Amino acid sequence: MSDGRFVVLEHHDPGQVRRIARQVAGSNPSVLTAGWQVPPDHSAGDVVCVGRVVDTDDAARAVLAAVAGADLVIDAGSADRDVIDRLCDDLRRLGVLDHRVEPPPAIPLDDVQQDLLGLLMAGATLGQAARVLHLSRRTADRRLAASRQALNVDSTTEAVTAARRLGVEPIDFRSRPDS
Amino acid sequence: MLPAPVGRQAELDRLSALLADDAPVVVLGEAGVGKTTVLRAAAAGSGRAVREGGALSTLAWRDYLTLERALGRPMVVGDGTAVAADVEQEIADGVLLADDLHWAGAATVDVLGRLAGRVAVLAGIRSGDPGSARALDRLTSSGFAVVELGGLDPTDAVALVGAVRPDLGPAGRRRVAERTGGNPLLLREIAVTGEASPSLRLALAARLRGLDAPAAEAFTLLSLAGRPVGAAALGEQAVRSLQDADLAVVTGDRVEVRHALLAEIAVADLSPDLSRALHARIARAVSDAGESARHHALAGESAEAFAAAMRAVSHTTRPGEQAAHLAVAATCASGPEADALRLRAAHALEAAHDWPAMLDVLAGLDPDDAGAQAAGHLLRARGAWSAGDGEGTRAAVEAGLGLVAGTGNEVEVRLRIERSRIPLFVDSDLERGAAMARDALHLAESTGVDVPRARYFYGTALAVLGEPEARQTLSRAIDEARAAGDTGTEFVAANNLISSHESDGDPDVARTLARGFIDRARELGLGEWERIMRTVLAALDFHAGDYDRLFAEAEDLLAQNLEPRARDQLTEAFGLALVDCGRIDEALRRLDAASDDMATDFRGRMQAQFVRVEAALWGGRPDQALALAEDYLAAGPDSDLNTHFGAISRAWALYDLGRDPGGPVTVPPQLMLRGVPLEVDGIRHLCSGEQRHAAEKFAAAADVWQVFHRRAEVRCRWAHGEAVRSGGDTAAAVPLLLAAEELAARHGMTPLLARTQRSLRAAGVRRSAPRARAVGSRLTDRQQVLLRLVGEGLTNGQIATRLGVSRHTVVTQLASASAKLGATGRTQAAALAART
Repeated sequence: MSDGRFVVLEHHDPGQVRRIARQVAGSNPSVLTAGWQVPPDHSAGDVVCVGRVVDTDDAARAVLAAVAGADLVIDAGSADRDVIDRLCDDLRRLGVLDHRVEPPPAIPLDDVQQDLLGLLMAGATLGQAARVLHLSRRTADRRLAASRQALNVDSTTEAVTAARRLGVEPIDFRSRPDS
Repeated sequence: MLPAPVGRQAELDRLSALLADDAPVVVLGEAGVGKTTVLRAAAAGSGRAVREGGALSTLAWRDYLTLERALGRPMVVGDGTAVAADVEQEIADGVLLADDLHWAGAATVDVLGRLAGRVAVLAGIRSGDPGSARALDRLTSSGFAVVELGGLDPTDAVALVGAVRPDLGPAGRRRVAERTGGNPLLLREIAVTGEASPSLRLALAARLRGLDAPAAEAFTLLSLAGRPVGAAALGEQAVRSLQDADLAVVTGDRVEVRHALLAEIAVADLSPDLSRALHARIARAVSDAGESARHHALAGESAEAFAAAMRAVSHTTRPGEQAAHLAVAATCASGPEADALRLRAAHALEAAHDWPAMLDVLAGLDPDDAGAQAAGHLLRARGAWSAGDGEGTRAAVEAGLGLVAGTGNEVEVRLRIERSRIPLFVDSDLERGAAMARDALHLAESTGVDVPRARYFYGTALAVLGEPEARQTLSRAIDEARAAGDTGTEFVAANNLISSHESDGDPDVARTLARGFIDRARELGLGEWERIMRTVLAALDFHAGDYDRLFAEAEDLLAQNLEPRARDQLTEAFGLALVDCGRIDEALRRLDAASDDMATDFRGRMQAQFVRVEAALWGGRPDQALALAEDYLAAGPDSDLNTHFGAISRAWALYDLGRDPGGPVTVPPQLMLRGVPLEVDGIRHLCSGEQRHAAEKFAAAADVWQVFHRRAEVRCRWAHGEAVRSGGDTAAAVPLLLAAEELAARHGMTPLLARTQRSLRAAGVRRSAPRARAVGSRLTDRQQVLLRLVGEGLTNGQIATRLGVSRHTVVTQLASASAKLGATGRTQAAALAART
């Protein structure tokens, strides 16, 4: 039996849910679909379904997608406790459940700082990162210094490591970032 | 092949026997007890083809889902007979494993019933679920045998925790096992993370929500009671429900919660009204007077609580228990006798060293009664002292004297005696401290008040000054206190006598004394003192290099309620031992975690600071160690002997930095400190190239340390060998270094072992670099450690020093790790290795 990967989120805002879904989809060629319909033209192993579960019907549809082999990222923030309990009970039996009850840690960095550290994380030089983000080298330098300060560390290496621990993802600098 | 589940051999044997006869069987047990694991192990053990499927909670409405999942295809269209025939044909000689049938629809269970005797069926049902009874009835009526799976027995539970967390000591393993009622799922989670995750807590709370109202209330009552309660008090029906749901254990006519963890969850969000009502019920249900009093008090029933508590006081002769009962009585007392009772309770609590309870009791004293208030201040002064609050002691003493100065009464004398230790320990004024302690002893002897306590203060002052008659004086104070029935003074004096032997006498005598007082505290029911004396013994174990015992004791003690100074002392010993064992990150992590609990007094901060100095030094950051050591020495008053050890850390930091450690140091006369100037001199000679002198000094220092501090002895044995080696006499150095290597290895002192082996390599003795165990990841353990250190901002040179390898090794290992991760440099590699 292949083990699915399921993330059930409570107290996450839609942006955070999207980010976690991208993370679960990862780098291997997988299809990220909204809702619980597993597309028939894909072998199910490659599918990651993202959506909200509010009531028992949603929960049943999500579990059926899991039975069909999809990985799931579920925003269960507005479901009743009982629905979440039963959903989690099932998903534990179908694979590895990652049930995040607490809101994720706040990242003390703005978008540009996160992108900058994400690029460095992927191995970009500061010059490359500045070009990708359309910043001057001097501005990039300043933003980086502000990031170090915000993360309360002394070196860029520590800043990159700390950002990674907070959930900032590497950004492949050979392709443009989405936003 | 699946690993055999721990502690399930009997159940597996039974299942295998049934399976061999193709007899259908259902395994019944609570959530997380390991039904699926046992079912799978039994199925796999049969060597037959296994088709496994399970019902799902949200899809309970879907007929035949379990069978579809097992066969991997839809069922034939038709009635139960047709479906059963279809499944029978497909399974043939194999095994059908049908799990979680409490969620299966009636049609599915019906087909499984029909299959009994036709194919081998292994079924699983969770007990206590609304669907359990129906599914179980249908299967048993078709001839299914039932195998009930209970919690692991305590021995197996402890073994399972040990398998998950080999680093946990026996006491820690036992605690995990007890909290979880032997449930393997809970055991694993709590063993790994130390606490139940929010997700698991929610899953457990779901079990409680499934109970009907009377059963839920009975469970909450049991949880609040925290001990077995008579079944009659709960109602027969409720007890049966709890038993069916595997939430309670019934022994004879007593009922008890099965998982302490579930009890914690049940009482976490209890409303005050319900809590009071339940406590009132418990108070009436328990037979023990003390327990009854405690619950009456929590129910707000003062009169009943008072009566029960006084009954409990008369039932016991153990001072610790009496104090606890008196405290309950005192907080519930009213009327003219109340203050006398409060003071009596506070005295008993002071002797039992239960300061928070004592302060609670004192808060109830009549604010207008000067005599009672002064007596209260006296006890507060002692409480503040024990909490490490020197200024609080001063304030309480002055407040008390302000009320009774000049009356010449007993309380005034006691307050003056109490005041005599402030100059020495709060103001670090040795001269005045000794004089005041002597005067206080004279005052005590002339009035006949509190002689043992005054003598104990004086003896302590002598000990600080390094006077040999200190130990004699303290011994006499202990005898006098014991004769007077003053257990509080007896134990503090014993504590100081032990530490005087530890630093200035014979540590073996100190150990014998500590063991004796642990027994005496236990005998008297003084739990707090028992823990403090165990802490003292653990610190002595640390000095003797017995780290295994220290780790086990420290883990056990720190998990309990420990008095702040004892906690600080233990945290320091624990931290230094971790540093000695090369577990530097863990030492710092524990220090950070403990810093919230550490006493805010100077001594506690100094103890934490010293661990940081040593962590930096042995973690390969001499520059940081030097800065920390300078701060530490600058802040340290002469009254704390341990501060002098900072001089050694400073000297080694300077040696590591290739700088001169400076002139000789002077120390107080205590025997233990004689090694300090010797070792510092040795380091200085080593730096200035006078290897022969260095070797002599280190050898002499090691001999002093041998008695008092094992860690320092091993350090000096290595330094002795290194001095001889770098002096050019390889032949003489090798046996010395081999002896140091043996010592370091025996005590698990990894950083010193690395240094010793580096010296041995330099002397031409082959030593392989310490090998790390490989794990599943593509990076070796060693590479992961390297990357973590990079992530902490260490330079390659610092990493090399910390790990006892060459800079070249660090560079090649990092390059290899970067290549494996596809990273372009050390920064990216560290980030990729960091867990999100």
